[in-house]
Amino acid sequence: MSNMTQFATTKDKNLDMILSVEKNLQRKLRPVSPSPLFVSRLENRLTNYPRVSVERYPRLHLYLVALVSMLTSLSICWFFWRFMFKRS
Amino acid sequence: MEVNNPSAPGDDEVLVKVTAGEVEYFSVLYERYVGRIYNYIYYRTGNQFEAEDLTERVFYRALGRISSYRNMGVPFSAWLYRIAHNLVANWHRDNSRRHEVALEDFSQVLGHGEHPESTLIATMENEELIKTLRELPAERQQLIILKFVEDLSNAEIAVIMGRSEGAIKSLYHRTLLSLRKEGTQEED
Repeated sequence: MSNMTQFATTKDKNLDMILSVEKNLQRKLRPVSPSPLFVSRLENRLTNYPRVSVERYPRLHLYLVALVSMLTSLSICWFFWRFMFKRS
Repeated sequence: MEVNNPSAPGDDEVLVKVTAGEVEYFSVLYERYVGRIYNYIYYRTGNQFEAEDLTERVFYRALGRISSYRNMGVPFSAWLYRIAHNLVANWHRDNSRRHEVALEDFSQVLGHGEHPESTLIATMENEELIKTLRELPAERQQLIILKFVEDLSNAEIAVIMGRSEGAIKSLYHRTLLSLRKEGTQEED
């Protein structure tokens, strides 16, 4: 067998091998479906995203309350300080 | 899960609304891509529960960062796949010290409602293939899943993976060769 024929045969063999792997993957790898319950539950959670994010991160709620209280105290202090300063 | 209705708004149209604050439109994108993202994660993790958990995280992250999303000519799906890819990579890193995922978890891959005997034979055949697939480097796994499970073209895969189409073709060829090599080694 000449070198050229040998080269062509090896090339054909490689191509056949690749095609068989490709066919095997096409046959065996199939899409899977997520459970409908999971899909609808997640959709509901995403629809209520802002509310859910507070549920998922309960500390976020605490931080917001702390921030509002701090701002309220600061405004009260500022109001009294101004009131006293004006009187004097 | 893909919406094939021609009158359905395109991703760009929906994204304009979502980024403008009409977050309720995000559900259109969610319905369109939840199946594909789930599939991708499922094949990368091999576990239904992990796939559900990570799919949830992908969509939470996407919704949380949607305001910073800028259309740079890359499809929205590519953005979602990148989030999924990063989360799966983190999951593998965190799990590498714990345990290997049991191959039996892949039994869901087989068609639902098939005859038990054919299911068992198919499970055994699939286990070998999945085992070999999971031994591939992450980017090769990603390529095979996008090509065969998601049925995407080389051009679409190139956009998602941030490479040229030529690079994807070459990687695909090398991946098939390595899978073939693995197969023949196991036969020997």
